[in-house]
Amino acid sequence: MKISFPKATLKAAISSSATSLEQMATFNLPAYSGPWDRAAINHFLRRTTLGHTYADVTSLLDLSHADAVDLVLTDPGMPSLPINYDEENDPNVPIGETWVETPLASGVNGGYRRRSMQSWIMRQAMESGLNVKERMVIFWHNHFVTASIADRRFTWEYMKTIHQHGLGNFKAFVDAITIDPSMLRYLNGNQNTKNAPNENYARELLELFTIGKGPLAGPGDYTNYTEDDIVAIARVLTGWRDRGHNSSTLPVYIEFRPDQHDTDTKQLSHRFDNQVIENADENEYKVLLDIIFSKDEVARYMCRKFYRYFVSDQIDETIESNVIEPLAQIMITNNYEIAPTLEALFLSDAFMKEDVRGVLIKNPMEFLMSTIKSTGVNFDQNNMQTYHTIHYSVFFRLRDMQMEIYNHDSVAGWQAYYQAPGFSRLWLSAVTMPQRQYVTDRFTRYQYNNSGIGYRIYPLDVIENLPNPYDPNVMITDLAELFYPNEITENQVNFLKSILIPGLPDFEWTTEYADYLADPDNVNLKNAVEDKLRDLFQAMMSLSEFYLF
Amino acid sequence: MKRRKFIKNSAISFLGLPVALNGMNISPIRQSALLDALNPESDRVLVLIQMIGGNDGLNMLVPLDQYDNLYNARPNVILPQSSLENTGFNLAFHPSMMDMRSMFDDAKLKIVQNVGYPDQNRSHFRSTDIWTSASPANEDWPTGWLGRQLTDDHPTFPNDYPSEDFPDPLAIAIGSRVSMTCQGAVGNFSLAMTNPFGLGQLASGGDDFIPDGWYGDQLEYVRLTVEQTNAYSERITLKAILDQYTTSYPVTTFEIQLKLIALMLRRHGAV
Repeated sequence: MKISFPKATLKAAISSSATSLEQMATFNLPAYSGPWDRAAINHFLRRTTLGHTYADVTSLLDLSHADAVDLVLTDPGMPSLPINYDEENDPNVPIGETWVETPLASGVNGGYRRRSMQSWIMRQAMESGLNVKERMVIFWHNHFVTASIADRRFTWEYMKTIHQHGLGNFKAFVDAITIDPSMLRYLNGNQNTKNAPNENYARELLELFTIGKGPLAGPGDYTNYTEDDIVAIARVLTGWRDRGHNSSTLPVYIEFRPDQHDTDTKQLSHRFDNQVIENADENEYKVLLDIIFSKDEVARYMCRKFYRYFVSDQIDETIESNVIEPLAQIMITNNYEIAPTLEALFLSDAFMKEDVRGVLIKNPMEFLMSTIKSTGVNFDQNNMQTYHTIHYSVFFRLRDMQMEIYNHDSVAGWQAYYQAPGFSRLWLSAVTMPQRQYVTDRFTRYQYNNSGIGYRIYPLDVIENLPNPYDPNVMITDLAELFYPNEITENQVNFLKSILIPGLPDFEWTTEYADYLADPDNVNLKNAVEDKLRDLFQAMMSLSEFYLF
Repeated sequence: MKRRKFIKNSAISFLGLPVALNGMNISPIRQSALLDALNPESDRVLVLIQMIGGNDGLNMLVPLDQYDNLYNARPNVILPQSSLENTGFNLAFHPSMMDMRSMFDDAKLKIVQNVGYPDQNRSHFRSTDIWTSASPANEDWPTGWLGRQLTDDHPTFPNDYPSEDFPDPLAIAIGSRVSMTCQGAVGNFSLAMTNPFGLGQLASGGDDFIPDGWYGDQLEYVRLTVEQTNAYSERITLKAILDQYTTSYPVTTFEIQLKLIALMLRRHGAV
């Protein structure tokens, strides 16, 4: 079967940017008014999508900034289901069919479901197009961390929750994740009962998922909440559990057991205005969420996370008052809807201005996808199994660069998103740098191989889409615009040219390339220019500038 | 951050780079003169082992004056008093720590008991933060305790490192991440590595003028990481290759990590 690589559609969604611009004016978040040129569009796409091409930038020149924001925020809806692509021995799930709601028959090796999920996450990233959704999936996976769940049906339920709410309403999202079967297992909500309350989820719900920990204001008092609140909230959440984990017969579901729920009245601290929560059984956690979300600090905490992810990891008092606070007010005004909040952020000067271009170090997914997608590599295959296997194998490049999906070290997520002062610098080390170079070397220089399946960058296809591939200076400058967040120097252009045509005058390239185009079936001519381009691409992706975005 | 380093470096890089970019590693052997310059007498190496997870401290080092209370509280796990390794200080080691006990008797082992902080909030992150920063319980410090010491000793780091006087990494973290204990005010002093035998040369190149601002700082950081990974990896790989396996080591991850430390140390005459 042929699986096509979806092309970005330029049909903008129903424009909501007018409302956003009004709200930005109201709350004093200045909109970007600089030029919507190639440099601005490159920055915009680097920060909102997972990889783009030179042609994508050209196509966005025809849109306004506001229309481009609407375009990337268009929710593509639910993705296709992960399928069994290589296990012949599951009697209930033939190859080519999905397994997500089918219990694993006893005696069948469930490894195929793990491979299927890992292949699937890469497939979503590869096929995401000019859209913010997959970047949000990674964001939310790092926000609501769950890991180490053996039954992959749980992982799917969790990914479904993330996809359903990723651009939806944040409060509804927290509601769903609170009783998500993976989360009930990961943070022990399934062991939280009236006689043996377990505080793990209650603690992270406040510290990591919603309101965040403020400065220590006194013993057990973190400004936004207290230790006593954690104890009380754990009791509010008693009685829930997941069912069906590793069962060969049961579906995955959750249940509320009234007899395990603490029905006594819960008293919150002065940080929550001494509010009292009366028993409301399975609806009690919704009462709790109403109380938590009545605090503006939830919006501030989330807007800081958005800012770190999309703009810069440096937040000082000026950013706090000029960006975080107005953005938080916009989030509150929109009742915690995620898309309008991101819309205001993407329209803002704070997001678009030149000062913040290139100030983040790419995470491994961003690094991998910018390598693959800006050069137009796709994993289309005529063979279904090969298609999935390639995506599966690329998953491990992420793991080796220390960003394994579904396997965080801790519930706080990847260190690069919370650990001051280094933040995104923490992606880089003597271990991960060689891994990154391995990725770019393989994709540019060699046939990237997986069990005999080759895939790699075809640089001739890339330069064919540039305005003037005949002139080595122009070609390198145009590629630099695609690969690097800011302009490179004339020295660097000359250095790169010395890789392409060492010691030769410029016209040698022009001639060689023209000769190839005049006789494209001549293998010798083709190999000569392609090898030169591979050297160039490899060198360009080895420059430190390529690690920034 | 200093800019002059990059003016200086770019000249060097433009000469040296095409070699690396053509995929040829610089031979580590040519560095052997540097090794000859090492003075084994002056080498002091501090090894810190951070264990992650739970440890039953009361069973590892049993307070004998509380033995009866412990027995009553947890009769199912406590060991018979006769099987314990008494230190003579009202404390006894778990029997599997007999070797530790001999080190203790020889005054080669110190133990600090009852570490923790007041009003524990049970957050693992907070405990780890205090562990690595050594901050008071009611303060948040962004630097590690070792990082602060190294900042005092090497105030210009990472600029101009490695240098003739300090050709080796100031700290090595076995694993894939730098150690927060080594976090200084400006950068992290530790070089993360999983295997000293597996280090290769990274290509770099085209290093040129660094613009001002946060973008320039980040770019400078990436270039420094490339340079340091390369500079240190030559020396570390060389040391590792020159070392001979004289001991057979067990094969758990932790033991392999200890082996790597031992191999690197032996070259320094430190073990």
